[in-house]
Amino acid sequence: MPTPASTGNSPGQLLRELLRDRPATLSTLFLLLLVFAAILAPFVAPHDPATQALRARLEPPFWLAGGSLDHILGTDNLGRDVLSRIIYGARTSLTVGLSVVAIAGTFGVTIGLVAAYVGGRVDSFVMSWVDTQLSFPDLLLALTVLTVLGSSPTTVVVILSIGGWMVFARMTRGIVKSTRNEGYVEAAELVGCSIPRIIFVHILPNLAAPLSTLLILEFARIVLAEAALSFLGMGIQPPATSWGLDIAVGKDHIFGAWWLVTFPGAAIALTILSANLLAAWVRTTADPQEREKRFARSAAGRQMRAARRVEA
Amino acid sequence: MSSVPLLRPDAAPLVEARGLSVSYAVPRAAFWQQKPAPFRAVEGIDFSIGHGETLGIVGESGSGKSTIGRALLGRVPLSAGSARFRGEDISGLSGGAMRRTRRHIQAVMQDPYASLNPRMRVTDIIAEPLVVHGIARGAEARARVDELLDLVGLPPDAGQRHPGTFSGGQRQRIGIARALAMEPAFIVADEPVSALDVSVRAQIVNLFRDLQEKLGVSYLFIAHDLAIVRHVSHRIAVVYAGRIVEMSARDDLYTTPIHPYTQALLDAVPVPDPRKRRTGRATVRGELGAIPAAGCRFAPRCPLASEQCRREAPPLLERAPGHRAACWNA
Repeated sequence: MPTPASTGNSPGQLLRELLRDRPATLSTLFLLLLVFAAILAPFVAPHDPATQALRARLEPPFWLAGGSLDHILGTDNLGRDVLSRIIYGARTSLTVGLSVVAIAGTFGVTIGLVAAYVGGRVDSFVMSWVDTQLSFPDLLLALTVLTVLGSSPTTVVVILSIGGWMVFARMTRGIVKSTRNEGYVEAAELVGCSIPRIIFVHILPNLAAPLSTLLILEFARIVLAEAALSFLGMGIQPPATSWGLDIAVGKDHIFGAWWLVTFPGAAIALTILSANLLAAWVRTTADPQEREKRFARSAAGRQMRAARRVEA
Repeated sequence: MSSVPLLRPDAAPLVEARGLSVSYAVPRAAFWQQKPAPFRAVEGIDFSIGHGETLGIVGESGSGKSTIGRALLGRVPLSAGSARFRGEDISGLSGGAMRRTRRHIQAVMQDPYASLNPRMRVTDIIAEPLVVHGIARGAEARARVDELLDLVGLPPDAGQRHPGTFSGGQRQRIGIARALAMEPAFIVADEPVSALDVSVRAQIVNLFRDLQEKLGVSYLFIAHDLAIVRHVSHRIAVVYAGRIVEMSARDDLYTTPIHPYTQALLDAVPVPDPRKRRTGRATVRGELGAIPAAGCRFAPRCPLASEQCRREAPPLLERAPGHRAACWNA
């Protein structure tokens, strides 16, 4: 039965539904804030992230004794502004995260599609390849390659893409395989549709919802992986900034100046958390049944609150 | 209860199957084992369908009746024999040639819930064959869709809706409209009403007949419901374990069945009168099991089976004018 919740797919309807889910709303706001901060970093950041001021080393955040509003979140061991470094670090995280997800996603979806559609030996070859590569820890692979080749942002993106395409291939293959057996795909073949038309018109639209969820989750994982690589010294190299790099520097001063690790760490944690909460919302929204349940729950909640208000 | 009269009874047949056989490869259980013999889904099927004629195919689940339809649609390769359409062999057609043949051979599928893409509007579903074959698009296609909607008895505003908002019977009407869009000469209908409510089955079956009367299209009508097949078919073939055991004009089959399997099928139809007992003909027990390696495939369940039946497969021979059966003892 169509209900108001499941009929609307317009942007307005989706936005209203998003606003009703508080964690998802906050997550979206945080991610949007991050994106804007990253794009407008030169205008938003109070200081240059690389400028050292040795006389203002290890200043605490402004609310502590010795802190000043000039450096809201304090300064690091070289006198660089922590807030500005976080804002510029967001640039690195988002750039790496988005490029890796774009490259790995495109490659993985294509490979999965080919495997599912050609089938037979190609399929079993591709899937054994995926299994083999999945059994190898990708961070170890990344560390090995980066140690041998030397680190640069491009290398980091490439190596994380090489380690990240398999989940996309696996998911695409599963969905394409099951959709191919749907009656309407067989009907399209009987009607005389060409293979590209069947793929793009009848099969791939089914991929949109799970793919968007997976893209967000993978984005979170890549941000974390980049931070880990940079923390280990094999990712982003100074003078460029990265949250992981800041934590690595800050860990030497963890007892004297806790703000050096805490704020970049919080930035990572909040980004991952927001991405996961948003992914959960997207997943529920893309599933008509789950969406129905959520709609019923929120409607029931509103009624109960209204009833309580009447009693009071 | 008479079917549509034949248009051109003497003309050359539209569709012809000669010794049509399909076998499916059976995967081996493990790589060191020998490859098992392929499963012979259907074997040595002969029939022809004239212009504007309906051949009904009945049989129980797993008898291979759907495979016959799939073979004519080019969905499964033939292992032997041939399938001809307008005298041209269509069994080995590849890509482009197959696509061109699809203009004339269409299908109505069994499950009206699965066979319509839930993301597309009804107009786009019905117009898809026209667009794909480059016959019409845009306003021209929409006009044709409106005609088709009217032809299958759907309201004109149905085109703007999605399939999810229709009932099973209406969805099957959409599927029929899609099959008719190309003005095909031949439609394979594989159990087109078995997924529908009993109350709407008759409407859809009547729609098939009305369309045949108006458009002169031929059907291969596959079903397991004897009453429905009787209602639409000119001739009926009874299939057991991948072979035709009996084929005749519609009424002959019901009044004078020859093969013991056909008799058992007809006996199994419930009599809607509690005072009447069923005739005491031998009933058939068990179900379609392993196919015997030699002899008649029905022998393990047959009340008349003799030594000869287990040794030699009976040929499909003419027993009366236009009435063929494959049995040694009947």
